Amino acid sequence: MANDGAVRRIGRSLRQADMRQELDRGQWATLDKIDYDIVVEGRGEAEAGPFWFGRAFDTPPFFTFSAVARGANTGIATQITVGVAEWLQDEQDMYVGAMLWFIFDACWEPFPTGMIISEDFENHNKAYLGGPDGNELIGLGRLGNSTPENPFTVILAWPSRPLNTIERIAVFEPGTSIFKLIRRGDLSPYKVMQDPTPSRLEDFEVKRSYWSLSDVAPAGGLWHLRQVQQPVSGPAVFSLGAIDVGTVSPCGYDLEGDAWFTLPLIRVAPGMTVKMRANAKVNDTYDQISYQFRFGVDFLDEKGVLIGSSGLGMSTRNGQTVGLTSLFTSYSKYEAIWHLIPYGGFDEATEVNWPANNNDIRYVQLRAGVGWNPVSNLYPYPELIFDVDDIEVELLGPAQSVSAPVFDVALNFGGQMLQGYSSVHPLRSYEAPLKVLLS
Amino acid sequence: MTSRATTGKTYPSIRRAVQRVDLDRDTWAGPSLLILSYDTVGAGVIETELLDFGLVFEGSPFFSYGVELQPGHVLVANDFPLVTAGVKQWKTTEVEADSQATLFYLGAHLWISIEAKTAYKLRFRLSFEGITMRNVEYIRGLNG
Repeated sequence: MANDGAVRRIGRSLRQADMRQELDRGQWATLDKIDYDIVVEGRGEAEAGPFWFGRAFDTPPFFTFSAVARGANTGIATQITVGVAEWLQDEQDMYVGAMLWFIFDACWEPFPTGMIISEDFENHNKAYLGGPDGNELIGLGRLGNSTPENPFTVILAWPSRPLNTIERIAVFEPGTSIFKLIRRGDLSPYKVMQDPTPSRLEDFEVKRSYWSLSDVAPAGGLWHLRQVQQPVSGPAVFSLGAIDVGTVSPCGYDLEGDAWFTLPLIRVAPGMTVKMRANAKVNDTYDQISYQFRFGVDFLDEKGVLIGSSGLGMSTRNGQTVGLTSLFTSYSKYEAIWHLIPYGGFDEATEVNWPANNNDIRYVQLRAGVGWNPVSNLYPYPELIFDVDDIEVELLGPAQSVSAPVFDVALNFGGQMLQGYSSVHPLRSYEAPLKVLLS
Repeated sequence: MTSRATTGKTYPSIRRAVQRVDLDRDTWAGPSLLILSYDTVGAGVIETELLDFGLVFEGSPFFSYGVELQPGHVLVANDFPLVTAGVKQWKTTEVEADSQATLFYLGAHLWISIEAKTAYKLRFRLSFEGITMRNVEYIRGLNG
């Protein structure tokens, strides 16, 4: 009996100790969170802080964030990351604050972000590549120069009529063996992957010859270039690198015609000057084809609706007779300039169809094209192999007209928060930056 | 009168039923927050191995994530990491197609994308929140 009593007592005191521990835990540390509401403005990156909790966590709290775009900037930013660069601890090793990093990667795409709707490109390939349903493939290109160290991403785009926007974008990521078919407007950056799959690319080399190009202009494809995502609010020059815009077969469809290849969409402001420079190269399998290298631009309003266009052509001719199967190369530097003069039209554009009010222009989509005019019906069909290298786009003022994106960002730190700790160990007060500017 | 009398007798049993449901809910299931740490080095896109919850969620848990630099690492200017993470596939109990049995969530494969030229050492904190079952030994299909 005595033993039983001792066991009971020990058991009771153990229970009491457990209860006291639970009570202590409840009193001294509870699951709680700290919120900050701040404003983040601009594109780019910044490290910001310190964000002082004014309280203390005994372990690193769980950090999350959410961001809401303000007004018309919705949809501009495509990727946002806020992370903890450093935890700030006091002399008791408690977690009392944090330094954060912000990176908002934005592009100039006015359309809402879409979703990947299929990863099985093979079936779509047969259906759309020059298929009978009118969905001609109008653009194919690669980002940068292809080397073993830097394989390229191929992007295919189909037009959607009559809105002149992109219905589908397929992105081929070498190494993944899949094509991602993306709904209009999804501009999630695509990383240039390693380990290309040449066989897939060769397939497209062959099939390109069968594209129907008789009806492509001025519908736009769209290139997504990760490296040009930078602010354009002021004077800016950025290089788009080399883009192999592909091969066209002028015969077999129309003896006269042209093909346009679209370049990235750029957000602009009234009064801005857009300069486009490029090296253009045309190889044709005959010497008898007159062709013309062209720059074009489509003007879109805030909603991405086409409201005008302009073309600038520069004629050239190969000028030599080198035989039916020889290649002739013409390689020249071209430049086109558009001055988006408010209420005043555009300078230096030979073909213009601009909107009545240029102030409506919010985006331009640059195009490079080639036109041809064979002198006779030739067989076998000639090909124009059209390349554009060293594309540069220069944007000149006004700086104040393009507003930077503004986001309301909520930051949240949650975890086991020590209660009453600050009364024993003085902590810094609850404070944080109200605004973070990115650059 | 008859109707009122019948209704009056029903109230206590409804209350008992409600109490029993509450009791069952407390006993059998409750809200849980699970936070897992996952360390990465470098950039690129990865799929994680199966992350076993060690808990049984009734329904797919709410997923969120946070990211932090591992201690001792610093940010490189013009190359701050852009990260995203999401659930690629849930691991659930196996339920026959025509079964009415509840689907329980036991783990997940995640995808993590890190864009940066610098080989950052990052720590992802992966959060899963939902209702978890307490007495899993009675759940059919969980134990072999």
